[in-house]
Amino acid sequence: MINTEQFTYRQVSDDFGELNFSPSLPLTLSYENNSIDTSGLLDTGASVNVMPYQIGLQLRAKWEQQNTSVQLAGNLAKLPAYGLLITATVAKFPPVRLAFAWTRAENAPLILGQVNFFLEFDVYFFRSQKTFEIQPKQETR
Amino acid sequence: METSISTNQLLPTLQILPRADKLRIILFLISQLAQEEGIDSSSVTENYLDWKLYDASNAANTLLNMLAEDKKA
Repeated sequence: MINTEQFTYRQVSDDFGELNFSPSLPLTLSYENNSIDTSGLLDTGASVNVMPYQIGLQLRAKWEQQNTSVQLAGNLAKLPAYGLLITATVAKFPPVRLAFAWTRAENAPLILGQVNFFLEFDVYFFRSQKTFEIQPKQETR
Repeated sequence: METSISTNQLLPTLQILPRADKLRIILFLISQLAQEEGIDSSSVTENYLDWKLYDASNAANTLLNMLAEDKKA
């Protein structure tokens, strides 16, 4: 039986004050013994998951102890980033390991991208209805 | 034929624009003025929502390697 959870798009205001709807997914992030409840932008165009600096600090990750440098693209390329492995829990699904590029940028959103959020979850977007559905990846036989 | 528009004609048009268009015009003018002065205005005018993460393949490979190592451990 396929186990799916439905979420609604969140209403957001962009930099220019225009209202829009965003596929923002609530989830719990855990690192070592620390957990936070937050939400991430489902971004099918992003190659990687991205974690803003402040979220990493809230999880008590130590920036100066990271040693796997990650080269991001676009505007984030200007700032250093490190790979950080996090345990993430979405709804009632079993926890998964997510690899994030932890960027020094503070104004970046938490982005859930192809590596590896979309390798762990299948997502169905119903933008016209302002909903999306998520299920854990199906193991291939 | 050269056409021109005066500030007096332009201002009422600008006033009725939506807020987002007004802000885009401000960014455009900053960029134009900075260019004329030889100043790099990218830190002011760039759209910082435009993350352009679609081509971060090196980063993707690095993270995939980390996950593979984590799975082995």
